[in-house]
Amino acid sequence: MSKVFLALVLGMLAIVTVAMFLSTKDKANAVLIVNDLDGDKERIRIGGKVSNKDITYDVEPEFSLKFYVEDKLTPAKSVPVVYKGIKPDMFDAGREVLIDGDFKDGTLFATQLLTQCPSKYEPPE
Amino acid sequence: MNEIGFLSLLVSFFCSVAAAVTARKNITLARASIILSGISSAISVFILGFLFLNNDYSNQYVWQFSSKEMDPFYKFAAIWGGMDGSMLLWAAIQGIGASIVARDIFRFPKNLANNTLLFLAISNIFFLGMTLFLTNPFQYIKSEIIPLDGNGLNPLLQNPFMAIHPPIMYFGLTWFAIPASIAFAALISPTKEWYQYCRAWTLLAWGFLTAGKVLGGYWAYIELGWGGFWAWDPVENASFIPWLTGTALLHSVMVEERKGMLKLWNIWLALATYSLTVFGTFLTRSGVVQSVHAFASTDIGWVFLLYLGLYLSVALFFTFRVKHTPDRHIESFISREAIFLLNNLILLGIAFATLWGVLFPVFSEWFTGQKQTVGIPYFNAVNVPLFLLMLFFMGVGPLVSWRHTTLAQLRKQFLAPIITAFIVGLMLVWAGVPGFYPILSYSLCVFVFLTIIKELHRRKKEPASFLRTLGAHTVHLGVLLATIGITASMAHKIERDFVLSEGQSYSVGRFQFTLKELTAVRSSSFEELQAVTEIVDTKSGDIIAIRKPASRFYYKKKENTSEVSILKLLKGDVYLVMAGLDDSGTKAAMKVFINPLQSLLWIGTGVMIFGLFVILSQRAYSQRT
Repeated sequence: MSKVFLALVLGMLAIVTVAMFLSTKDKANAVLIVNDLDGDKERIRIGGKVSNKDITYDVEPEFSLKFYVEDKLTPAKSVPVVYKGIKPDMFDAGREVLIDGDFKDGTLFATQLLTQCPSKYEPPE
Repeated sequence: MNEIGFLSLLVSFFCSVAAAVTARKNITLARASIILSGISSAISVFILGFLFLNNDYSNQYVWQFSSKEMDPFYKFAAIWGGMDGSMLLWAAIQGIGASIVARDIFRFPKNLANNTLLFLAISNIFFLGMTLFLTNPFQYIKSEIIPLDGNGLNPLLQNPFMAIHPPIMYFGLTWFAIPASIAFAALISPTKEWYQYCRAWTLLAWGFLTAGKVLGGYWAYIELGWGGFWAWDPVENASFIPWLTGTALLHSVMVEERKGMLKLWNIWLALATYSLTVFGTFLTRSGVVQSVHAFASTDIGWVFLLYLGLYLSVALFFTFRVKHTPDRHIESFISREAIFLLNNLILLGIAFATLWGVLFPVFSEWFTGQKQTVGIPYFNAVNVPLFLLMLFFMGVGPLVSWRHTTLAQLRKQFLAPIITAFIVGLMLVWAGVPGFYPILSYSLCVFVFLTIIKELHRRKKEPASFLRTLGAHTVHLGVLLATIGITASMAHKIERDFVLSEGQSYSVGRFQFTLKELTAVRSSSFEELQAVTEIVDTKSGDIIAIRKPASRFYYKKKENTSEVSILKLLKGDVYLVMAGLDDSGTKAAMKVFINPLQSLLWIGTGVMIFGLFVILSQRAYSQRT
């Protein structure tokens, strides 16, 4: 039993590991911070804060949200973001956001924009 | 009141310490201490609730998460609106579970009893200690003057499903500490049939976790306006992983019960499930991984890791030190125990792949120096095929008997269901259903359904165990319904954005949406702009419904949220979002999702919970007689 059993466990582990590596190869986003953005780069994830600079939101001819994002701790520089989609709930200046997208010619083209929940499990001040 | 709450928490903590100290010498005393600890921690939860209902803003936590104009129900629910209170509730629910086990501890063999109490106490001590020393919710506000009004609860959390979702989750997550404590006790002093003392608890914890997860998904679906219910977010995964190992445990103890096999495997599954719940708490409170939920990087995370490390090291030590009677060998791979084992491995495979995805940012930084993250595409790519494979074996299980089935018997049993499923698959292809995985998923559901019917038909002749079998298969039927709901709503989802002025229409599929008017509505805590929309079925020309999705603004928190409107039809949901106005202020930006068969997910979960009740009622009955 134990040998066959071990073989089964290892076999399963091998299958899953291979599947995992095949899937992560073209599906991973590099996590960067705003201050490190320099030069074109595809598939990145940025965590940051919505800057106080102007936010524009158009619904025609298509949904388009334009704003600037900066690092939440050291806002050394702010980067323009273009998101073609509906403005998420609670989106506002100062809010923390997670952005997935491509950085091209100094602009971050977001494919996904998530506003982070504000109050859950914040440490006491 | 702050002092009384704190005192009661302190009493609870020291009672658990007393229980741990006395567990191996004086069971009666340890038992009483555990029960007292549970009661005392429950009292401190109610005291915190009392502070909330009384608007006592001298308490820092109450001030932070409540305000005067909130409904009393949400004031009470604000207990678990933040970290401190949620830790307290976590400790208390676990403490109550431990008390109930302690009440019946004399049913246990002596060696199992004292070690079970010991590990229940240790678990209690850890969580009570965390609450007491690191996240104490009974703190005075750091200000000279007591504020007149509180900060208020996040409006997104002011929803009945969100309000009840965390406690139900906690019942599920914390009660896995019970099978783990019993398993640990059985690891130290090997006991025959140890699992019989914890199977009901495992089922209960599993049921609560299932219900809690789906309630959370339902909340996200009706509240967040993105038309989905599951996003493979770290927080979701953190409780999904123990759910998977818990599911594996439920099944593999049956192999031990029937065949006396897999004893250590089961013990370790119970320990792993509990450890993964603790690990999940660590993940969601340490800031190690980024999530939609802004979990700040608090320092308390590392205490969890330390605890886990110690707990598992001791378990490992006893695994090698204590001699266990060797397992019986598996006789044939065409047997039910082999299928159970296989599905155990698949469940663990999904758990492993999910854990890998969650921790990928950490690992990638270690190995490459560049932090990378994976999202929905990764999880779907790895887990969907594994899940479908599991679904297949879920159907094979009932076809084979314990010990051994000959290939001829198997072929006989297999033929009708597999051919029917194949024909259904072909019909779906012919009907133009797109995608390989969706068709496979529906066909497998048909296959599993038929094998369940076959099995129930065969087992009718054994009335003694029939209800329990019926219960188990009802849970599986629920899984099938949920699977169809998940497959259809994910694979055939339609999503459209459009802009309408009053009187204009837009068509999607067979539905036509006409914006009748835009109306502003004000209440004491918010104002909202409603898009009164008429939905017409273009095939029959009937008006199906008039819906009012809205964009809402809360004065106090100065936050915008969208109030979605969901029309639930038998064939699927029509999910309308009002996404705001254009610059001229006359046109409404709208979004619609059409989610086919979405309701089957919620109904299926209900069926699963119902089936679980049937099993549990049978267990209660068999214990009485």
